Amino acid sequence: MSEVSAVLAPGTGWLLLAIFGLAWIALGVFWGRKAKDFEGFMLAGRNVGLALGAATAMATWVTSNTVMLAPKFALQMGVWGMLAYSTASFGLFLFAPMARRIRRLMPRGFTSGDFIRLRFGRPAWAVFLLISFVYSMAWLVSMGMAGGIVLEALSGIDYRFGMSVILLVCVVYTLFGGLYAVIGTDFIQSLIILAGIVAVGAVVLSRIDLAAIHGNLAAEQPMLLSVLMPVALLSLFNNMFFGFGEVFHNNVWWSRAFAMKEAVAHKAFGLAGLLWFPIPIAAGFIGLCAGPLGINVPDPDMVGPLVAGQVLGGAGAIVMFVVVFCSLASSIDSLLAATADLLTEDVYRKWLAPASDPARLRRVSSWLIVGLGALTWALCMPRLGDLIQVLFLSGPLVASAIWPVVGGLFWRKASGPAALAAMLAGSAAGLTAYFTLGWFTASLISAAVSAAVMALGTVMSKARFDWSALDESAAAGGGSR
Amino acid sequence: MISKFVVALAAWWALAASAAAAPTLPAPRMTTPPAGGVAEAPEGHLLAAWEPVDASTDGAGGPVRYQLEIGRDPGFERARIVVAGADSATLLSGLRGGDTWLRVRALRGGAAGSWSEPGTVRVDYPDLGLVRNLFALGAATGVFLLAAIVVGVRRTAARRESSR
Repeated sequence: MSEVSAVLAPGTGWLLLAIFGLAWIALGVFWGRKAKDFEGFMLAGRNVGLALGAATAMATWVTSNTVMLAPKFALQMGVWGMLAYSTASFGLFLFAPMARRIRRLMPRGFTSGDFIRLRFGRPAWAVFLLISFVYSMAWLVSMGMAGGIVLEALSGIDYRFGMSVILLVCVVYTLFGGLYAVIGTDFIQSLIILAGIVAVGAVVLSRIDLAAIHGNLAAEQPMLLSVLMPVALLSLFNNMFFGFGEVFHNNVWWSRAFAMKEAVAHKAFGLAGLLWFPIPIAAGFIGLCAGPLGINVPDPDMVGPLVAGQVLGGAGAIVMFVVVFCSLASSIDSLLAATADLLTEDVYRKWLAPASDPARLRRVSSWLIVGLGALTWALCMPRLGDLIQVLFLSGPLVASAIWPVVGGLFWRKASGPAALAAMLAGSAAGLTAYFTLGWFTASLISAAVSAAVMALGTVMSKARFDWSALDESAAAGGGSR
Repeated sequence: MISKFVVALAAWWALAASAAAAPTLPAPRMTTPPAGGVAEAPEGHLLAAWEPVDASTDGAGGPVRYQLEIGRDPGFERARIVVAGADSATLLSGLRGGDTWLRVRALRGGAAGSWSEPGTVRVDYPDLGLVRNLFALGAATGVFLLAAIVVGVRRTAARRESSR
């Protein structure tokens, strides 16, 4: 396959990397000074307001995949593909009311793992942690690889160097600043991403003839406009349930729910969903224009940056470079922090060393951030295959966790065995569908099977859960950790 | 008579000389779909690829570009051309169901090489009955999820009200 020619000189790429990398590290160190204790480092003092809360949720959800995969979806599956990607925003919308419930039930909660352990017991907790860790690593590695690939394509910077610098920058500022640094940088990154995508979309729109684009698509690629394109129709629900699973189960979102003020958590997630919804549509539209504009696409993952670079020239490539760098940083930092928190709280503190003091927990969390960064780097280095497929392979796993979370939050009769069976049956059915029917059915089937098992198990259950058992601070006499 | 002969000889000479000077680009070889073979594309898209030609064999310089021809029939009577530039791959998407034939040729300056041996792309979309059933399953699960959250939120809000 051919290489996509770099639009920017490597020197320009390195300069941009240096400017933004140093800026994120400096801001991370600056904001990190607020983190006086372990809780501050992990949850930013549980005092995040609406603007920062919405910005961090939105920026975290704009990943390199949004910038690179949404145009690919549109290019391969047409209008439905574009809409299918944007259904991931529904996860934020539906998580909004759940965030309020989470804050009320667990005023001193730390992680999504805490919830599953207290609500469903250790067997379901162990499976949930495994699902979460597999998904988080797949997401981290897919972003690390995407970063290296896109920087190389746009500026000619060697894949290994670009990927390594992005990971290093994110590890360093997350290490110094914890969630304070993550949320602060996310705010600035969200503004840059929004402005960049809107600017590129607007300029592309001003330079094309919409009627001609439609005519060309209708004549040359008619299935991209068909409402009955089979794979695209199924990907609509598949992507939606994948998105629900990602948001509902992952500690990235739970840590934000715990970090936000109780009164703003639901508003922040709703606002983030609204801000995020048009981004894949704008990015997808850019991809849809490739064929009608006569731009050859030798690598579908690169269609967004390719169209922006060719239509807008060097300026467009610089904007895309910065947008992709911000998208990567805003998601990698969040995942590093949230996954390190999950491992520190759920594995180290709750399992290995329950008597640890906050100072020790902070040190463990820091080492875990470094370790996760190093593991991601090692997995990214060989540039193995199509990591997007690995990410989609984790879709049925996370979709199977939707119902244990929803049932656990709202159904008093939901039991541990039902949650465990729902995750196992959903994952097994979804993975089977992935390999027999196709990736575009896996999350859908996993969510449907998981729903049936969870609902049946709950109806048959005689359990009556005491909601106050979720508030560990009450159980410990109201003391904080 | 002699002048006609001289003109004809000159024309033949010029033609022969230009034919000798014109570089003949070899035909590329399709790899996806394979030349003479079939590639399945159940999702309606395919990354068509071919081996770049060895442009050094004809002794001429200049960049080589490629044209891909997409035919609705094996004889390429109903066909369209896609310009792939210097790349040796191009994504084809939004393909109709059924068979599509692809062939590629190299271009340099105004000269075009021979067409490659064609390959076939077979698009066999999932059965619409299965799609309809899975779509209905997705819609039902989505409605159930929405109802579970909305009812759950309302019940917990009502419980909070009554406990005040």
